[in-house]
Amino acid sequence: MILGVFLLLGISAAAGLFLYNNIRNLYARMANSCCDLISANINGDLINQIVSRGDAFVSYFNRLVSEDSLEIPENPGTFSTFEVSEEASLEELTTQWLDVYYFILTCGTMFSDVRYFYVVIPGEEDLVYLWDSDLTDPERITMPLEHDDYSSGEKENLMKAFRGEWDGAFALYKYREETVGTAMKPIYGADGVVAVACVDVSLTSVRSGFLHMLVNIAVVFLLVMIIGVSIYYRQLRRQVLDPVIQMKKAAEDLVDNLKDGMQQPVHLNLNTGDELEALARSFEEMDRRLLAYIKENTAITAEKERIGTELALATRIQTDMLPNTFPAFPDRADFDIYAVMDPAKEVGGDFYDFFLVDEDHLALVMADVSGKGIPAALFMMMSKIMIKNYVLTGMSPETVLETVNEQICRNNKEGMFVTVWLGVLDLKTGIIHAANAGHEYPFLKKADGSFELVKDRHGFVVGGMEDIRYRGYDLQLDPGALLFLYTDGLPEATDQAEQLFGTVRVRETLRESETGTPRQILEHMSTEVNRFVSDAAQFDDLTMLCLKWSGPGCSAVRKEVHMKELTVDARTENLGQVLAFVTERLQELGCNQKAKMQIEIAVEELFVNIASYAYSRLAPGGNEPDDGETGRKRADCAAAPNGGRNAAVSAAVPDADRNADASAGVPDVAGETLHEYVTIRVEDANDPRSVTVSFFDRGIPFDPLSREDPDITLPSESRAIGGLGIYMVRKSMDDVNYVYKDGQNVMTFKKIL
Amino acid sequence: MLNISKDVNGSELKVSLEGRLDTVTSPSLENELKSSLDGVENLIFDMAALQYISSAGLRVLLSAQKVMNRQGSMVVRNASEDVKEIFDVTGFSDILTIE
Repeated sequence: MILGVFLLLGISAAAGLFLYNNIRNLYARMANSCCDLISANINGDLINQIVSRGDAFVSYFNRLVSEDSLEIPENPGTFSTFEVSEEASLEELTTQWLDVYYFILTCGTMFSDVRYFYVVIPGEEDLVYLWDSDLTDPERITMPLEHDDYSSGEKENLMKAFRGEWDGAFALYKYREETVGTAMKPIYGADGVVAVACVDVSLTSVRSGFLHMLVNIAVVFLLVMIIGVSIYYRQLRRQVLDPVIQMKKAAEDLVDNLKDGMQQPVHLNLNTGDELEALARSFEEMDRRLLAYIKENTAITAEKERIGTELALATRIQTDMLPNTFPAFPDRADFDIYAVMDPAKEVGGDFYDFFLVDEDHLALVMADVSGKGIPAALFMMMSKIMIKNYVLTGMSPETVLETVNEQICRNNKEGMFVTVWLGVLDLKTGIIHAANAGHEYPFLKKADGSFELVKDRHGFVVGGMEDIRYRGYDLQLDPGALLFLYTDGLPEATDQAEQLFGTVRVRETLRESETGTPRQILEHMSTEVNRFVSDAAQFDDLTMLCLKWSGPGCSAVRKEVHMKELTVDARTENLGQVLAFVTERLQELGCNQKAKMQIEIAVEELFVNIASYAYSRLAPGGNEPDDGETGRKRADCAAAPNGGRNAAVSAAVPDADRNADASAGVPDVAGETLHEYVTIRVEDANDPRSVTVSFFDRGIPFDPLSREDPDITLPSESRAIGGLGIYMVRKSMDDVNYVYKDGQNVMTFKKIL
Repeated sequence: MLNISKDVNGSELKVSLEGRLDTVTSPSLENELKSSLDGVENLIFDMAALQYISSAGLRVLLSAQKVMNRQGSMVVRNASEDVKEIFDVTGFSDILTIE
């Protein structure tokens, strides 16, 4: 459309230009016609005579003018050929001159826009005017034979015309603010050109007319443009811009809706019937799909969370099922046992079990259910319960396995099975009667030897096939012997290079720690396996058990335990009293100086910690005092701070029925603590001779052992004091434990004297 | 119980400690040092008579060491074996200058 307008403009301008030229030519012809008229009718002879008379003529003329006796001819402007006699008198010449003059004037008035009529003789120096009529001022008569200078540019053309070389052309000059076009015609006398007749035509009106027309065209063009563009714009807006804006708004609404959780899809009111409408439809479709997807996703996530919660619960149940209180039999000095179960997934298929069948017999179980996760866990629960029940009825290990096998095979559509090592230790004789159903070989360390693999008799796995017979065998322990049971997760622990830990490494690692307690042996094994596996993912459950039999000498009689308690307000001022209490006991026990100081420091650190923070009124996440230990955060009281995946949880809290004195010192108030007490208990024991100090408080649950050790290699500027006290306790004491039980923080450490 | 004796010799300050540096007694040492360390270039702790030190005491020593790092030097003298062992265990033997 723009093109059309420009075309129109172009054509109009061209037409205008064409018109202009035509008019100009018209004027030219007109001027030339005028010229022709004059030159044709002016007698060259007259001019010659006037010229030859020259000054005489001029003075005669002037005299007449001054006397005011110039006679205007009777019929000025009539077309008659001017005849002049051979030797005319001045009078006749003047008359003739006047005739011509008025003739010219009359001619001039016939044509509009004619400005000047003049007849001149162009000389080298200047112009000689014969007649000069200014049609803008016709009354004035100009003198003949006046000289005048050339105006710019006209000399050349006049000379040309004088020579007879100019014909019909039209020269343009600027004269007195006007653009004039001059037509020139030679006037011939007897001997050739005697003068040039000129007509000046004003082109101003032509030009202005033309300009006018251009302006009009421009205005029209502008108007047309404006109208055209508005129409175009309106069209564009309606067809493209509005739909696009609509879609933009719809997109924004979509995002807002999603953010606000609204579920309605957006709707676009677009019916332009073109690509934009198609786009709008696609957009709506996308929106609908998005909403559907979000809904689905939310539902899935909720379901996942629910399952996750249940799984966590299942984990706890399973963990609680295995005996995980240590020391498990604190009143028995003839044996010491420690066990650990570390599942690969949240719930696992490995399990161990130990329990006293009677005063003199201890049952030990180590088992591994095929598979992992929930199915294995369910199977594990069932197997464990069955085994224990049958053992408690007094069956021998091999009979237990046979019976359990029958039971399981009966209801085993899934084809799950379990490997079991089951043994019963006679605590008086040290003989273990055991049976092995496809389980790993145990390790045994005699009192004066090292750990060795025991290649015992293997039966088939339990739950694999019916009618399987198992054969028992005996292991003889001597006092101080150690037994190590485990599942295949241990030798099969894999590192990133897919190397297995292997039984050889198990044996070597056992030997490294074989002078320690069962707990120390297992901890060392754990550390080594973790180091071996490092970044590789744990693939299988890791379960171990270690038993030490000390012989029947330190028999089933209660270990000698002496205990004294002190309860004070949990305030730092009472530190002196607490230390005095403890040192008195240590004195009685004949504790050496160094151990005494170490124990005192440990007591101080723990007591000050409790006094400073256990009962602090800090809001959750409130400001923590920054001197010494970092404050405790109010933890969720339901969750035991020490609840980890590791099922080995230590507690040093004696059962309530055994030490009735214990609870007397601590207020038995469930819920709110009215008094901010802490109880310090000092126990001593023989074999080995040791002292155990425990702290009981009912403050905010907090496990000081959960803190990381401070980096003691840092330079002074970077060292922090926080965590140092606990670190010192851990380093100097032999056994440090924490548990949260019955609403109390129980912090215990033991020093072997 | 803690007895603190100070011995000023020009820009050298010798602090002799007798008794126990624990939670209860450390604040008094901290106060003493706070007002005494200005202009001190050599700080000496004489621990011949120090029987006991806990983490509270270590803290005071650490802040004294930090101050002296900026204005001079600090040494610990005549600490008992048990006290020295505490310094070892806690890594303080790398931070303090022990003679």
